[in-house]
Amino acid sequence: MSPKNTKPEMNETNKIDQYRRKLLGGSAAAVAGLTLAPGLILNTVQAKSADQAVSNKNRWGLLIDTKRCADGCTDCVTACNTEHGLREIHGPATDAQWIRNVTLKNKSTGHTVNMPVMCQHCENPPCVDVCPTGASFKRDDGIVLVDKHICIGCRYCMMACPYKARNFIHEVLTDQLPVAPRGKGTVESCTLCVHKVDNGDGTTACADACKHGAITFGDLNDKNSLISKKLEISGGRELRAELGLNTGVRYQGL
Amino acid sequence: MKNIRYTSIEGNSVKFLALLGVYGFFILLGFYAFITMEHEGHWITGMTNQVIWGLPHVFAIFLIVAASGALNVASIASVFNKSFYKPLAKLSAVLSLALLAGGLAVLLLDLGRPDRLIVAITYYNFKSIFAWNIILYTGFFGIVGIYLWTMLDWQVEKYKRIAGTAAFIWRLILTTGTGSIFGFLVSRQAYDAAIMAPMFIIMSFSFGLAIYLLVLMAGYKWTGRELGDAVINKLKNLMGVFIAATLYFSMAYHLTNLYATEHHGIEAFVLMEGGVITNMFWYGQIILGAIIPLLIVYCPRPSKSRTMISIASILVILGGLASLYVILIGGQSYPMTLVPGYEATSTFADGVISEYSPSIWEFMLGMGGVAISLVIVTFAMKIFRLLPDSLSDSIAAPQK
Amino acid sequence: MNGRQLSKLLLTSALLLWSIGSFAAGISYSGPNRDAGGNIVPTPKGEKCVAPIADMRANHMDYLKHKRNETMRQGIRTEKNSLVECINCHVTPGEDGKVARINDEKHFCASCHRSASVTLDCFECHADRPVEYFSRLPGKDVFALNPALSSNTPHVVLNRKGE
Repeated sequence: MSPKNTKPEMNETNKIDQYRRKLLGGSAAAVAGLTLAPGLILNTVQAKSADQAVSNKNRWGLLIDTKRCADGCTDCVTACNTEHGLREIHGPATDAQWIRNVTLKNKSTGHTVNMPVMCQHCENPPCVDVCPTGASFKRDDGIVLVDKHICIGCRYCMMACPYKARNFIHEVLTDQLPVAPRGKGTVESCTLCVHKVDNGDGTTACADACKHGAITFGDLNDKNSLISKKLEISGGRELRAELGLNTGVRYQGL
Repeated sequence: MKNIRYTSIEGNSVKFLALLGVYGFFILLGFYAFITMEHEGHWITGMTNQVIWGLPHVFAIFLIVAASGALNVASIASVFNKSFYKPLAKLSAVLSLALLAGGLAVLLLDLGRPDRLIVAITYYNFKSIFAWNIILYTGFFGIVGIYLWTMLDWQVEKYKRIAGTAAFIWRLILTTGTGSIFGFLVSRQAYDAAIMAPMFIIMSFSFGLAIYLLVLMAGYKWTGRELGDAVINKLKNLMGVFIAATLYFSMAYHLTNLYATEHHGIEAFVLMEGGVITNMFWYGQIILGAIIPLLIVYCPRPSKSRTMISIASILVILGGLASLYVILIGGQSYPMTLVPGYEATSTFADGVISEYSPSIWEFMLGMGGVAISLVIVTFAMKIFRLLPDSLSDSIAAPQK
Repeated sequence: MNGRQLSKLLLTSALLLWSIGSFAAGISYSGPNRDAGGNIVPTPKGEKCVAPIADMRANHMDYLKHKRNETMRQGIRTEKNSLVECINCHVTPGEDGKVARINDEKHFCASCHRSASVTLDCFECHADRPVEYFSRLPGKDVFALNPALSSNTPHVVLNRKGE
């Protein structure tokens, strides 16, 4: 059939073909776009300039898809340890673990789930409430940190944390990395890679390292961010949600 | 009461110096433990990222709670105007200051950064009950100090009632604050209960009076002064009431927990499956700390023997330490539930009972705090006129 | 003289000697190590510090304290008065080609602090060497010498762009 046929039925077919081409092309573009989106979004996020203060315009968080978290994989833990210079020193009882892989098993159904657990960067952090000096604090952009200059090492925040996310440094440390100052006698926890966030890297060490795409980092206040979109489509629950802490780390697949 | 004469103890005998020497030895041990812990870091202790507060905190909280309770005798005298207790009031005030000093010493020396004490008293987060406790503890020294002054200096004696009332209210707030350290924690099943604050108050009555009774009896026996049965019986019976009340609060706490299925795990751990914790609870807190002392106090034969009464007081103290051990260590050993219905395992002791074995350093530090308290009260007896010359029945209870 | 007078005399002499000694030590304090030409060794990078030397010597602790609060609580990571930047410039290899560690008196901070006898708390936690001495490449020895800035090293840059 000649493409230049001008019979009305052929026009209609042409139109249908054109419509089909547009639909297929558009869908392909959309799929490609969604696949490439994380990279594009990372590159187009406006990095905060160094002299700008953080504000509550942003609220940084993580979304963890437990269905993608692979059995026995500890890439996120290794990445965090490497990023911050965490080492094995005196054994698991006293060594720092900012992120850990928790395997959950349902007692009655036998269902097993893996998930990484780290500081949940709550909106109403119990650790901030109980710190006597105010060393445990929440930044305007939602990241919960320890001001180790005024931490007296009382460990009350460790008692208060519902997720056991905080660590106490039990020994003299040497060779700390410049991005992660840490020292004996103070308390620390996951910083949501605040040095990378402020630098505009748009990701955390654990999210970056996860090969299975289980960890997504993003701005919870930005309705157009990937994390917000994922949360809107598939939801995301907090751990120990009944405590009403409104955590910045959400979990799917639980 | 007008013919009560207060004198300081002589404090010159070899025995007295030997006693101070024993205290000094334990204080040195405690100091050595502090230096080592501060230099090496807490890895040498048994405290870990799971069991965060350990034996030093058991000692410290015991001493602080007992400090507030030791003021009871003075409060009954000054606030509730019971003239029988008035001769006993000065020792009570000094003992409470001494116990608080010892407890705070242990607490502060166990900090990760004890060199930042100035930070602790200059940077305040007023939402933290810990910050309030710092204000309450330091204020306690001031208020009880003033109260003691009104008792020792006849020129300000007319303010004794006001000072005593202020001290009484302050120590109730202080002990409520100490109990609330645990009561305000939402994270752990053993804490997060409103009953923690009043339970600590009633515990303070019991521990404080037991220590007071021991110190009083020792102070009179070792200086050859007369202490009549009237005083001992009254204090002994009061102690019995407090022991029973403490037992009641503990029962209310556990029975309430047992009612909620959510808390069955922690209760099973404490009451049955906890190993050391369970033994501490039943043998330490209940049998040694409550049942046997109650039998001694209320059964006719043992209640007349001073030795048995001393043993009862010692048992109350040991039972008190055991009950704090159960609260502190037991509460931390039991894992937190991240997702209900799911058992957790991880490299960070999720879902498992965390072990805790106290190190010698923590014990040395705790005993150092006890020694500090005792050396203060012993020395105070020498430099102040705290003890009545005689508390025989004819002087203490002349109507009888 | 009797015992009391003697002990008073001894105590006074001891106090006097101690004060004179401290004063002498104080006025003989000459600051950081310098070479024969009077230049500070090891030589810092760049032409000059972010503030005049006398100002820095007197006030660096306040500048650092103010900046640390800005950085930590507000995420302001400009280079001026940043501890990492101070170290990047001032802690350089000595004559032996090695960078001194904080417990060595040749370290820039330690050299002054030792003479002035002021406790230095920063390096309980903070790295005492410039960033290029750290590599965060996984699998590699984290303390391998990595002189070339790569995308794996922390963000802080060395070009002095002012504020």
